Amino acid sequence: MSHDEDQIALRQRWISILAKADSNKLLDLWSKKPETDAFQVLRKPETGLVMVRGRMGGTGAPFNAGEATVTRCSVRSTAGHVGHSYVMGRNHDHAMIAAKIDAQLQDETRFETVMSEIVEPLAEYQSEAKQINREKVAATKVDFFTMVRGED
Amino acid sequence: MKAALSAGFENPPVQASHAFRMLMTAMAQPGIVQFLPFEIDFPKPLNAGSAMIMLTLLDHETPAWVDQDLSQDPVLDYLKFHCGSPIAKTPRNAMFAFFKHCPDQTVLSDFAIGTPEYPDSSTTYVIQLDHLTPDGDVALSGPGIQTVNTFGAAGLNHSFWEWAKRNHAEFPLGNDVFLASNDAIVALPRSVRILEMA
Repeated sequence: MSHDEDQIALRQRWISILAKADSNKLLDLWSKKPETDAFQVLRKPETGLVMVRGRMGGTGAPFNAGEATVTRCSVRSTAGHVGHSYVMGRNHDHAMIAAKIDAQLQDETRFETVMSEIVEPLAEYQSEAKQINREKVAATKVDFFTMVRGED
Repeated sequence: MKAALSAGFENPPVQASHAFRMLMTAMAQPGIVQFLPFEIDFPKPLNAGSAMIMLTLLDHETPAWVDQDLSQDPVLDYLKFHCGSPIAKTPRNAMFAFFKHCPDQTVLSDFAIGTPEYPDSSTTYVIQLDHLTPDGDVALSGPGIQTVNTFGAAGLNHSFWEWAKRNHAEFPLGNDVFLASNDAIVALPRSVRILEMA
């Protein structure tokens, strides 16, 4: 993979984590950070609908599964980095903070600290939640089998 | 790093309505200088007037054409981010055309002038100028003008006025023009008759 592709994959990861983060958790982590940056808002948080498309079995023909409420936001940091966010739901604070964090993460001097203070804790929390869910599902797993009925 | 994106309207629903009202008034009263109702953030080499027109009138259904001087990343990013407009590949497909300087009449003749069934499917021109003043040498008459309206425009050449006269002769087809400076706008719809020019 080229350097650019690495960068894209990296940004995709943190944007995904920020978008999926639990709002309260994100707001909590953000409020603990000493806020020193000023941001100019390019696009205030705005809520709209997007059509979610799916594929039957993951590989079939695409179909419209339904509409989802999404809030998006864009900001520019004083250093000139433009941060974007698209977050499911109507939480404007979440979208605004996610966009600000995206802008900060593009700043190489801030990357390490923001990553370890906000993104990694969120990622850890998300994988824990996933694991708990997985365990709950596994505990209710039912194996189906048929008794031999002795007819033939 | 790429040049940072400029913010558009601070409060899009309200400011877009005010700007739209101003542009509509400008079209309804050709030759009357309309001053911009508020300031906006825009990238160079656009000017405030043309940026306001861009933010107000363009969207994903209006292919835009920008001349060579304006065709720079900050302008194209601004257009893409705030309006979502596609860039017209040929002049004929453009709904709006933006010019940094007054273009030559050969350029102005390249764009769509509409069809008798759909005269509205013509390209609207936005020409950036340094100054627009309420008094000046340009005199207009026609629909929306009681007697004669005059205004002053710095930077329009003879070739433009030649084109404007032919444009009027083609009515109801033809192109509508916005002249845009950093603080004002003047509209020259295709219906306007040019009596005297700068």
